[in-house]
Amino acid sequence: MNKNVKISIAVVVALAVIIGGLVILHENAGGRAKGVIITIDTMDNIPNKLTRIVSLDPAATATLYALGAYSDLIAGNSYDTYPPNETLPNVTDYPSMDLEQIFNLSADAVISFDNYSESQISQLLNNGIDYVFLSAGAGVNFSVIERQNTLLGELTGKEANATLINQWMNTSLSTLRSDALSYDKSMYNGTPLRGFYLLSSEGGYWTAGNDTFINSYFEYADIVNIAAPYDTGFYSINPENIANDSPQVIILDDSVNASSLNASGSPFQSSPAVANNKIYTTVNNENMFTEPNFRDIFAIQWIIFVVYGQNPVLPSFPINLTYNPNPNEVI
Amino acid sequence: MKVELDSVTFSVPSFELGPLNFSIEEGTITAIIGKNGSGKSTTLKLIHGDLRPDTGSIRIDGSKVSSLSSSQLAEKTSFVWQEIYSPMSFSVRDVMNVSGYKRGFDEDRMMMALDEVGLASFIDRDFSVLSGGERRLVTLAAAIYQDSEIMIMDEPTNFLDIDNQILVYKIMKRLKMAGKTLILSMHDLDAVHHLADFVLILRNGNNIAWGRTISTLTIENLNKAFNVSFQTYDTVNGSSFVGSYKG
Amino acid sequence: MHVIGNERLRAFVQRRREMKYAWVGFLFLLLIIVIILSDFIGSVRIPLLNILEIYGSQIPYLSHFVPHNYTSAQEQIIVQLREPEILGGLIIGASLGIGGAAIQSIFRNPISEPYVIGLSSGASLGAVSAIVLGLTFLGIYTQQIMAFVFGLSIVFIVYFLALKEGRIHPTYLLLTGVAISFFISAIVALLLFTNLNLQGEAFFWLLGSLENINWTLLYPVAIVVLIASYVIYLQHRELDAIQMGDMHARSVGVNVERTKRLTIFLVALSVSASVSISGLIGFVGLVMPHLSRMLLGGSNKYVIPVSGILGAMFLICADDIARGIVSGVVIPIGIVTGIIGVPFLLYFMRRLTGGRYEG
Repeated sequence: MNKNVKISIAVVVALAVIIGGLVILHENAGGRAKGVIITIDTMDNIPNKLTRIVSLDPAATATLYALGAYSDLIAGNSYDTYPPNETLPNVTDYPSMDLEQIFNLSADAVISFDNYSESQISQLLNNGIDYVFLSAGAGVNFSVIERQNTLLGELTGKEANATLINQWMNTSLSTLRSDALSYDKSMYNGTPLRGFYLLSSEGGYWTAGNDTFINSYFEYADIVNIAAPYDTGFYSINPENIANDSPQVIILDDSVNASSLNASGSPFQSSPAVANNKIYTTVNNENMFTEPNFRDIFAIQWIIFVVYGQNPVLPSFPINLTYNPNPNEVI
Repeated sequence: MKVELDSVTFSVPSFELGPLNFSIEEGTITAIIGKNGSGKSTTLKLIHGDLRPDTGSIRIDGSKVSSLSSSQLAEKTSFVWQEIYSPMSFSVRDVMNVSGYKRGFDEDRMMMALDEVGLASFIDRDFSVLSGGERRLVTLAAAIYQDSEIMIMDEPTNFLDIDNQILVYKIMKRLKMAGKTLILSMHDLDAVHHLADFVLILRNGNNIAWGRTISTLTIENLNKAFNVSFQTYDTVNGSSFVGSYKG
Repeated sequence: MHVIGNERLRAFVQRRREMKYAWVGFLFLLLIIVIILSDFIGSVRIPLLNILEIYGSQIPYLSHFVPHNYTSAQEQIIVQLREPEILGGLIIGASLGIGGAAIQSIFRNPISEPYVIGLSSGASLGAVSAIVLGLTFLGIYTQQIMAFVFGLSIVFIVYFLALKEGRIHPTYLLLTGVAISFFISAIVALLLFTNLNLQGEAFFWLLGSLENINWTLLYPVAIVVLIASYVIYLQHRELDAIQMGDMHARSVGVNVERTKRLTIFLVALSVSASVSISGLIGFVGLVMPHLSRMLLGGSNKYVIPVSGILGAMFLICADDIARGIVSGVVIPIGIVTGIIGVPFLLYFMRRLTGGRYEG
């Protein structure tokens, strides 16, 4: 080994030690306790009440507003639509979250529905910021939504309001269900009534399968979701199944062009829904349909309204809000 | 350093070489002649250990070539290739440096070797933009710079004009004087006649003749090796060969 | 025989060499400047003085004498977010540049890069299967570990499939690498096909990003890359020889097979480690070695370190653009390297080649 080799090895080792030292230094940096991951299943270990919340979840933003905890929010996201006229800074940094802004705002928790990258989440936790994960995928039904309400209530000290909202939801759901069962379905030939929800036609026919909150809409409205038997969660359905099950009612996300259903080669072409023009687009309200929170009650109300032409009467919302949570009443 | 070939054979589909039996003495020039495809380059590559013989053995300085590491081999032999891969953006210096791998960098010897082929001022030129003849001379200089006892050269005067051919012959004589052993393949029979101490004549992989140039480079052997009939004639330099194109 | 005494020629040669050292020094300085300036770019504006104070506070002993007028949020942003991302760019860019230089020497092929030996397809198989199958058996960094292990293993498989009588022929290795890559890509496509929901997440990994790099990920990768790069650099004379052909390299005394084995292993190690934390970033490994050959000639003594410096600089700048060009969106860096890098390469190729690639 000549002299240069020895010197170079010494340099490499020294660099390794310095970098190692820096990492150990950084891992212990801040002196704050590590953050924790909070879900509806970890409700018992809730730390202090949260007062500086970042919401990356539009469903949670709406729920926090309804709970009366909107003033605890310090940042929102680019998908927030309710309450309207949001003035909070937007920390969505598609496809990730803007950690710089979140650190700069000295947040104490981030609420999210989507799985952000593990390393971004560990950055939050290492810097003493809690991560509240509210699932929006498979397995989220109305009882999960109510548990999420309770969790958000406890995190912000608004347990009483959470209870009120959950009671309102339960009353509303049983009203909707019994009303839906009682309506005349003779305008549709044959029962049960078959429905389909087309979320997106980009790269397949995306729909909601079993074990989703959208599937629950159909159940409460006494409609059979033709996509439920084939898969759980949100998925792209085989068009042959659509053609075979020929839906009588189609709910369309407003990103889908209704006339495309009638195009040649479309699996919907032969369905009674197209023949009888029973296609309903969720114009202006699509966020109410695709976010799992208390406003889904109004989504069911809208479906019943368009499908049966009836307007079930819901109990009034228990909390007085500046912005009416029910978009159906605005129409 | 002696090079000994003992009943060496080598074959690939549609070509067989050997058996070759001869030994090359230290400080001599040995020329291998024959038609294209007669096995000249193959013989050189066998001696250099790039190809393994099917049977028989090749020894350099008493040790089997196949048992030598590339490092030991580089100390004993250098090779001037017929074609050299033109590496990306190499300067002449970079090409020379590669040949100094074994002995280490020596600016003076490098300049001397390049100077001997008349290309000292080319040291920082880009190798890939040189002419074919210039590249040939640089690779010869590189082999001189490698400074091994045995120098193997595959048609070293290809692409060269007359004065550079003569320059190369002078260099060969100088190397022989310095005690180097040269083994080369060549087409110029006059040059072989004047330079080489020993000659190996091949035809279709068969050893037609081997021995001292004076006794081996005869019209009879040449007629056997090539499809032409040869005759000698007198020139200012003495007698010379020429082939008459009778087929 | 008279040129030897020509002192002017000697001086000229000497000056050429000093010029090269000056170039390397200049590029290194430029890299340091790029690193420091990149620390100022981000969605939160932090004043220059505060950044300098934060730097000072990170230097042992000096930290006591530096005023602490910055907030802890500013410190977190600089130390936990920007520094690992920029140093990640440094490490990953350098490993791709150096890996590219070494692989191009071994293949004697100007259009090869580290990915051709099956590395990228292996790493994507590891990462995509971790995403699609939801694997977490190795903790929160399962995806990175899987990408690293698969990247490395596929290179080994390619290497052993290409081995013939103890020797590796460049063309055969290249073809084996391409064939295996196609095979693995088909498996990756199959995995994605089975779970279309996760296509998005896998897609972003495939395009590459420096955003997810933190100190915990950077530390082991930095050590691996530093040591591997250094040992690759020690092979620069052997790699120069191999560039002139395997037979020539052997004739000058290079142990060709050992050099190839060692270099391929080290490149696979260092680039797999890099790719595992960044995703697939193309272009750097292919182009930086050429740029450095255009600037400082083809000897690997310069090509290897300069490719590393240029790769690092390029990737850090590309990341600055990826973060800064559209607010609210972080563009995957693979897109930026392609869109910004190609015109830049074409420009330099016309300006700097001077006929070198036409021979």
